[in-house]
Amino acid sequence: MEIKLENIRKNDWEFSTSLSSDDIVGITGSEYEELLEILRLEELPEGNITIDGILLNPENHLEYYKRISIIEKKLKKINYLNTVKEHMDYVINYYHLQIKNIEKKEKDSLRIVGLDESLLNRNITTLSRSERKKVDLAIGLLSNPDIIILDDPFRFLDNKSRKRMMMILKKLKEQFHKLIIIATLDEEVLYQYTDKMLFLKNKRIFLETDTKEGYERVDYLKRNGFQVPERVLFTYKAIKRKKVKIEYHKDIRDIIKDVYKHV
Amino acid sequence: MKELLEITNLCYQNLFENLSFKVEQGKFITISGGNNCGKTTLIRILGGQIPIEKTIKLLGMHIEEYPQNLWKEITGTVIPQDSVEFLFKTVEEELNYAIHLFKKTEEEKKETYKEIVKKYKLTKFQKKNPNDVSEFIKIKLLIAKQLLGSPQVLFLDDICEELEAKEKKEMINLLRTLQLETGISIVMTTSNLNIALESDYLLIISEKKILLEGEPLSIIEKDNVLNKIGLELPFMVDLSVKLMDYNLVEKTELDIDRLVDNIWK
Repeated sequence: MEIKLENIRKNDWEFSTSLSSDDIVGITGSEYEELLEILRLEELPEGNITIDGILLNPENHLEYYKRISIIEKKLKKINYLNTVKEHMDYVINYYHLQIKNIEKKEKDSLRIVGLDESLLNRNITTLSRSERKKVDLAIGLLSNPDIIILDDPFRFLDNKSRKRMMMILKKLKEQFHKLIIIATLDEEVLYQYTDKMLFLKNKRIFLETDTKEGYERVDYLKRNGFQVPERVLFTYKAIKRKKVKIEYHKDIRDIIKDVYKHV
Repeated sequence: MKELLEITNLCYQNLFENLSFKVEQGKFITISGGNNCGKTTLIRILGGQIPIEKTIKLLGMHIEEYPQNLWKEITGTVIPQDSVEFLFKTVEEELNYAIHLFKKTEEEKKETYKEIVKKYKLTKFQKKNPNDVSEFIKIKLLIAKQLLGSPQVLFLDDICEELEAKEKKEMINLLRTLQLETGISIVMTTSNLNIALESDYLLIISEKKILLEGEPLSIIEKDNVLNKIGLELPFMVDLSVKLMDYNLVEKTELDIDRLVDNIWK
């Protein structure tokens, strides 16, 4: 799965990038929600967009629009709908999804995200915030999208649920070649879970980089108003202030091992 | 110290089984636990939305014995996920309506309004629609409204979870200021142990009961127990605890520079 965005212009934004399902992509920067609005592709922006080699045009646009799913920061309850099932049915109708056994598909998607199928008949308003977050993903998966954009997916989730969510996303990427995009202001999440980063600033892609390499540019990021994860800062300070030759690691156990070797 | 809350053998649905704890007045208390451990439900129970009898004493009296109006005077509750839309079109009108329910004279009303706008940093948002502002502003509004009746205790349900890092810090500072000024007790649930570190006393719920309670740092250093129930240690505590296992440092250090100094002297 690959999407190429060339010379895109919309609402003062200007950018080009190419994203593929080889990487879990992270997006950050105070204006990231505006970029997500463009990536939603509800309408075609100025510029060229190619998905798996096919150039999007007004004729094929709708077909491709359906292949992108944005998992919103907060699920909006649809006024006249109550249960999880009603919300799922709504999405199935809205996208005209061809599904043989709807109830089975709905239960399956709940199970994939680690929820009990009995949740299907619960009123959305009675779910806890973490359950709601997982239901969001389950609903987003119903249309079997190729590009899954998650707006702040880990909020409200404890560590256990985060790990599970990440396992699901990795599986979607590796086995089904879905392009996974995680947008958030949480630098700890981005550093630990993404492979490639887009740092946004002033309606541009300010820095496009391998996640680990990008976050190691501590001074550069800080100067430009981006937050750096604490585990990076710790290593950075050890190197800079104590001249020890330790390396940057994502996993805390690797940091400890490296410190142990260098005291 | 007087007792604020005393819960004895709270049982509720499948969530709590003989859950008991006591906390002192005037403190900033946090309650944490993994997803679906009952944090929000506990706040709903404490706030009186879910009636439970003969189990919960607030300031020495069972909560069901308080007359409705007195209860509203001494407690304030904010549960963001239960909050409905604001009624008015601007933050200013929303606040002024709430103020007029509590203050008598025009002068008092004006004074209170000015004070709130300043304390909660709402100057820029006075003419904005309260339903369109950020989560941070919404939560500040909810708290400001709850505090108009000068309650003695504030029950807050995970109000920090929707905020960005900077906002979280500001929120904690605001709560601390309010506490200093009024002596109010705060009972707040949080799924984030970084927030819990800022409080005076921490309780951890797991398996329908209180699993741990005490001074926050001493609780958060119990990494094995907390990891098992799905909670993430603040990075600096996690790092310190693991370094202590290897005898590389002697105690938990929350400041990165000082930790680096402690390791490489």
